[in-house]
Amino acid sequence: MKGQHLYSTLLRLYPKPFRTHFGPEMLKLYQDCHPGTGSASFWIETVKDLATSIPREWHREFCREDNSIDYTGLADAAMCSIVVGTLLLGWGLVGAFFALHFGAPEAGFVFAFVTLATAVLVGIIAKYAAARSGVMDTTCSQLISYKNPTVRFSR
Amino acid sequence: MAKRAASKTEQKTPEQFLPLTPAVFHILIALGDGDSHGYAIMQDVLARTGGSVRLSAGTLYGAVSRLLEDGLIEELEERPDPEMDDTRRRYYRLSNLGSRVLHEESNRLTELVRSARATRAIRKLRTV
Repeated sequence: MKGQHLYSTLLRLYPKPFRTHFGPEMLKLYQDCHPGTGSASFWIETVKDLATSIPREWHREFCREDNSIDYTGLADAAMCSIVVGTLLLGWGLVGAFFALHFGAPEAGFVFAFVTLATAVLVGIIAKYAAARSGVMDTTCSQLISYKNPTVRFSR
Repeated sequence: MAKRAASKTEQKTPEQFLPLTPAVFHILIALGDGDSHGYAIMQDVLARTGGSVRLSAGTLYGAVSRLLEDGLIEELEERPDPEMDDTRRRYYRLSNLGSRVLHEESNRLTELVRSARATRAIRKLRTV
């Protein structure tokens, strides 16, 4: 069950039209091939497969004339990432300066922790900003799952 | 009856689709023997290649998606009885255009193999 949850979560990284059309069948394929949680080699292969197929499908979706992408949310997410990323870079430089020049290594840990925590927070905010445009779903409503296998989907 | 058929690419000639990628060629071969769903296609490719080619889900459905758009395959409306099979499975069929593309690609590869066999390097190996 955990494997299915993880796999259905990973399927959400595909563009919505592709995911809506092929998601249920891909999940069924997973169940056919790996009834359990899946072996380590399976997950390595899956990650390799996702790493190549997800960018390819997004590229196809971007190139499609009638694509369903609303660029507003993506622009928000990109802007948020750039601005906060720049601030984090500055913060990291200040932290490194203090740690090196004032001989306080523990200060470096504090800076590193705050930097990581802020980065995670920004990632979450960016994800919701992107989701606002419908590019990514924050709910499982569009993705079939083993919970309701009889649901039919159309593109 | 086909649910989705070619629309914008119907005027394309089979030669314009060549050369096919290995994944697409394998899928067309698998569908050349009859209607099939994703899992059966994957198993068919595995069997035909002696286990050396294993189509992953992303590659398989990415190729299926392009083949549907190009009109080389069609998705069937008929679904098996839910008690007999899972309703999430979609069944695909080779279209007329797909059959012609498969035929042209087979001819192209046959010619390629013929010319490879005619090279001096291969002839020399044969005589050894």
